Amino acid sequence: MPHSLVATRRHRRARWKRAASAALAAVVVAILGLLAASPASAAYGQIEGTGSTWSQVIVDQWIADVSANGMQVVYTGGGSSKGRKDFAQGSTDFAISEIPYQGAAEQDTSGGREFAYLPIVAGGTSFTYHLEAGGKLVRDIRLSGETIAKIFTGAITKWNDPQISSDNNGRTFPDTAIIPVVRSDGSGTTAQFTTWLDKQYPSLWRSVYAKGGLTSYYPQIPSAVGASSSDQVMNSISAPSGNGTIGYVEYSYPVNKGYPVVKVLNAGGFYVEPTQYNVAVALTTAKINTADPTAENYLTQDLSEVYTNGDPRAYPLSSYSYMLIPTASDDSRMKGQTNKRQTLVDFLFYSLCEGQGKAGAYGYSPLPLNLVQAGFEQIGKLGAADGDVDIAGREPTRCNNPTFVPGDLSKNHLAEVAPQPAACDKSGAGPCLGSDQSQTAGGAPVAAGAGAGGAVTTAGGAANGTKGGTASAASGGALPTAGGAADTAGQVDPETGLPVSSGDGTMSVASASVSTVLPPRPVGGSLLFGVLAAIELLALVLLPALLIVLWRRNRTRAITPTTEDPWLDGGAS
Amino acid sequence: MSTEVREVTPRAEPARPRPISSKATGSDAVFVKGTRTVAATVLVITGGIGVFLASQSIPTLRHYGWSFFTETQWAPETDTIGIAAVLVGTFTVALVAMSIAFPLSLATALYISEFAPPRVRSTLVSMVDLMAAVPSIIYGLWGFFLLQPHASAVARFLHANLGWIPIFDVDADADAAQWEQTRYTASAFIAGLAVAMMVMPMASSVMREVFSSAPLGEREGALALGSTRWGVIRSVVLPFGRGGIIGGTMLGLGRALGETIAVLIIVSPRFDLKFKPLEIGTNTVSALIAGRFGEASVAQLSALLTAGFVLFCLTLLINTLAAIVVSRSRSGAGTDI
Amino acid sequence: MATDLELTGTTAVPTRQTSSTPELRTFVVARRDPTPGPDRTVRRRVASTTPADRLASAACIVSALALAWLTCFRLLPWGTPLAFVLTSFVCYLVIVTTVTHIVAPGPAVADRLATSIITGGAIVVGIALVSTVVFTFVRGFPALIHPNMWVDDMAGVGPRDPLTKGGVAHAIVGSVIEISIAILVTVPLALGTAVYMVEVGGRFARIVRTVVEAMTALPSIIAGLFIYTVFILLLGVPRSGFAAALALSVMMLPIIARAADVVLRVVSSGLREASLALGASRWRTVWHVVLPTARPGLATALILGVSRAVGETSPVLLTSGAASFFVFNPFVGVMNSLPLFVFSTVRTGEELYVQRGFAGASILLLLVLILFVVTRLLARPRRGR
Repeated sequence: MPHSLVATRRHRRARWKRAASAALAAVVVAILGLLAASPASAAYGQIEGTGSTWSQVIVDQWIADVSANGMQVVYTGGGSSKGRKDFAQGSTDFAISEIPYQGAAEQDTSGGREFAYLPIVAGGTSFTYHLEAGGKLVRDIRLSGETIAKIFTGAITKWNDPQISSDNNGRTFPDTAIIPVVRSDGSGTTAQFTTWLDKQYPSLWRSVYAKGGLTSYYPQIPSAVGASSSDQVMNSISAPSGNGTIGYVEYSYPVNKGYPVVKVLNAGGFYVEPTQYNVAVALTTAKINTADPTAENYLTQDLSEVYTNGDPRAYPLSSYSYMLIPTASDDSRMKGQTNKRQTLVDFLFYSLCEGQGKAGAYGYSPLPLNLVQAGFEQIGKLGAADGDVDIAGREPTRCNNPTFVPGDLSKNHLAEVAPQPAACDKSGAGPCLGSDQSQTAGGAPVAAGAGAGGAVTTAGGAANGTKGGTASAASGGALPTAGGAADTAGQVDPETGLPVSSGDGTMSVASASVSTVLPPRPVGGSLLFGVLAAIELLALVLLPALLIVLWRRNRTRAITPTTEDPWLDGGAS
Repeated sequence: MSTEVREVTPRAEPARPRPISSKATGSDAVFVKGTRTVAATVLVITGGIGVFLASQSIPTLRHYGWSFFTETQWAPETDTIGIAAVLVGTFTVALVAMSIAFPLSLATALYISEFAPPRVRSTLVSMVDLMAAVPSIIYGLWGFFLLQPHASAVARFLHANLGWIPIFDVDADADAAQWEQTRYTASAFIAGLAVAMMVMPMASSVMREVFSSAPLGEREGALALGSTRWGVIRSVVLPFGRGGIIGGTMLGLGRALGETIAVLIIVSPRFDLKFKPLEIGTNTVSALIAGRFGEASVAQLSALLTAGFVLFCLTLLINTLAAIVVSRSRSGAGTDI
Repeated sequence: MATDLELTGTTAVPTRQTSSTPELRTFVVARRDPTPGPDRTVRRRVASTTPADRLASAACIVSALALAWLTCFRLLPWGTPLAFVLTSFVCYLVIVTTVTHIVAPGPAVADRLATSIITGGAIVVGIALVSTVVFTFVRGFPALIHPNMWVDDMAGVGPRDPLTKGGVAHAIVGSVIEISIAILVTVPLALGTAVYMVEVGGRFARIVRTVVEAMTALPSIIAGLFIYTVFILLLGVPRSGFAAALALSVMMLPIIARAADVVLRVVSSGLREASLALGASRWRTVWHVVLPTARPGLATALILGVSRAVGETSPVLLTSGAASFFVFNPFVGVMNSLPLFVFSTVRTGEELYVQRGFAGASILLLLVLILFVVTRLLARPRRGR
């Protein structure tokens, strides 16, 4: 070979260089190509939003649904406060928030960006809990508003508090400390909850929040622990370590996890769950601001009459969630980008129309017709901002929305067909046992049509196969009237509220809960003796060796006092 | 006939050094100017961050004054904002991390430099380096999913048996029939465990480098005098490597103070001036920034930047001290034979 | 004393200088030993164990385990693996101390004890590292075995969709794009600065070096906050891959510049002087001599910076947003990246999402491992030069 080593090396280096430059060129070309190929003129553009985690579950589902049509919608949650702030800063295309901007005094304005509120979904702020008795999850807890207020202001600290017991008509719970889990970030859920606290229990609320009124940041109380975003609250509660916790999240989170929610006492004297029916009933008394369609607060809600709705089916903490959409024609993120506006418009049409049909299955409640129609008007503002956006041909009444009655659009079908609560859910009666898990564990309670609404139903363990099936199989189907197998708390007669026992009809209420309370383990004495025993054991094993050491040392010293180093002795032997 | 010896002074000019100019010409001038421009750009970028942070903290400090450092709450709605609690939390997490990482990194460094068979030594060094390269989020996941159940049991054990010492106290009943496990999770202790994993390789490799440069003569002298291996470590390696131990620990501390994501995954945010690392709820400056940047108004963002600036100053101080200690220990503090 | 000890073992003293004056030679008389013997010259091995030692150690371990089992599972209410391991270790220490005490004096006992503790500490660290890696892969395995996990994005994947739908490819693409931009921004700046600091020098270089070294202390979250405040809020750059790349650059820049500085400083000055003496200009010296010589070290510095940046979550958390689908344009629209994907999916608490998150974490770990191996290969001393 005439080639010398140097030549090969040079050759190799040249090749290497060529390869490197080729790679660099390829990267540059690829980047340029991607820039050119990015669909600037396509029908849809990428839109982004942040905000409420209260409504994130259903919004994520809608986004997954529309992505099949090529719509690229990004929603990353982060809390209502973040959503409003990002929207005001112009770094997102839309935001979702439970509450409107709070005004300049709290440095919470849209920063001059023109926008409109658009209700997207209704739902109930639920109280989900994790309480174990005898190794099993306790279900069917019911609480009055006042008890909830006391729990979340630190006035009630134990699950065996007499007030909780009296809410449950004498059913007692284990002597476990209550650990309220609250949101640590700026949250619309907190705002909804504290609005309710402030309106209904002002003195309790002001004992922890002297300023009064609603807040997005839950004040720090000693027993409570914080978690950011709804899913973190739910994770803290559903963690294996979460015994004793209770927190507030939208109903969809406990439904997803198969966790029970508190039945809350309404003004009608019944304990109800935030099912889509009960939320729909409650929100029939919501006052929606419809005075002036051009006003900024158009369509915002006033829920004070929802809290006191006297219908026995109404869930008091029901509310709507809102999307903030940019309406200015020269909006900083939308200007000249018809495709982005079109994406937002079509996404909203889907959400308000077909999307509402999914609300119930995911733990929300669909919007009534009047709000869907108002929402369509708000979408029209997007069309007004850019004439090229196609908003024609959408008819709200043709949507697959369970609140609509074909032919009579003035009624809320869901609120009319909502089942009445069971007699055992009445204050002073019951408690109903076994109904709760058949709904939450089943995942999609309304799919069957019957059986939702907090009424005692015939749904059994067989219907709960999908998620949390083991939990429901363990205690599901134990219906008061069915006379099935008794669960931990025993059977309760719906008429008297007393536990039904096979032999002894006069068994006291307290005895029904005997199995739920463990006697404290006698730790102190056994631990002391255990440690003593362990030390003795060790001593027993090691004592002979130590004696040998001592004996050898003495012997060495006695026999050869001049030997300087016993180590050599040991080493040699 | 006499030979005359004449001294002839040469007429030559006295030797003068050739003038050497350090001024670059031609392509070199371009080179010098070009690199200087690049360096100036980097200076502007990196220095700009410090200056920017400092300038952003002025309005906050002017608005809140000293109460910014003494107020514990971070409640933007009531305009009470302070970093006392988060600073305490930052140091709690970092100290927990260091109290675990220090003995372990010392043991690892000693093992690699003194005990490990020479064949596997380089592999072990690589493993420690690999540990430093593992992303912090993975340590966060490890701490949250794998460690937390065990660590909360340890926390309960410590509380039950050593609860009379204030730092092991937890606001819960240790002997309850159903232990309140939630109170022992999401704590500074568990976050500190995850952070310890992050800082340990860093501290360990600094220590190991210093240990392995302990003078051979002194080692052999000690061995020849009949010392055991531990005797060599105690009388030669550790005294020689003291600077490395301190410096490595402080470098680790500097990193531990700024760690974000593992802390964010694990702790439950809370603003309390408390020294109970085993109990749920704490917050650090970096986790506060990560948790609150999105919903911050202009004033709050400035407050967050101020908190960041304080954190940066602390980290800088500790790193500088560490660098001084390490460099001093490497510049022949030991005596070589 | 030391000299004496050193020389007694050798019978013939080698002389370095063969001078012509033999009377000046130093002679060391071998010490008269009271007990001369043939095995006198056998060296004692300091760093090995005898069979007896090994047997004793094994016996200690067995007895420690047995004792700990009795203590944890029979005597005390500590029946957890962790308590068992800890108790075993403590028992082992006590037993090994006692056993060593039987045959050996104080220093040997201390040595054995210290060895046990140090080895125990190193083992704990090893277990921690191995458990981290193994745990991540084990938790990610159910998702990783689906090929769609490697090639698909999360578009259209709802909260209840099985693992056969969706993937993390969009996050991988995002990470690669962000890191590439960060490298394109960082490398020229960091390298130029390092060259300036080492090759040009001067007072300005010292200032730059001080500032750069100080900035290596910058916590990554603050780099992210800086970019968020300046670029996203003040300049109106949208949340995008580019903003995230900038945040990563700001974080990487001091690290790489400082490492490159160290690498360039150790290039032998003889090479530089030879080049200059041959008439090369400084520019040519740097380009043809200094940089090629330092190439492996520079590559190591770069990859160390990259492997640090690729796993960093906090800067991208503040600056990039998170898309659930492929985004190739770093300048328009939010973009996902691996650490961010892991962070957001794991925090949902949905079991399927958590598994996807762990799959992402495994891929991230794999990426870091590859970078790490490449670093090792580059840093290896070249053969035959």
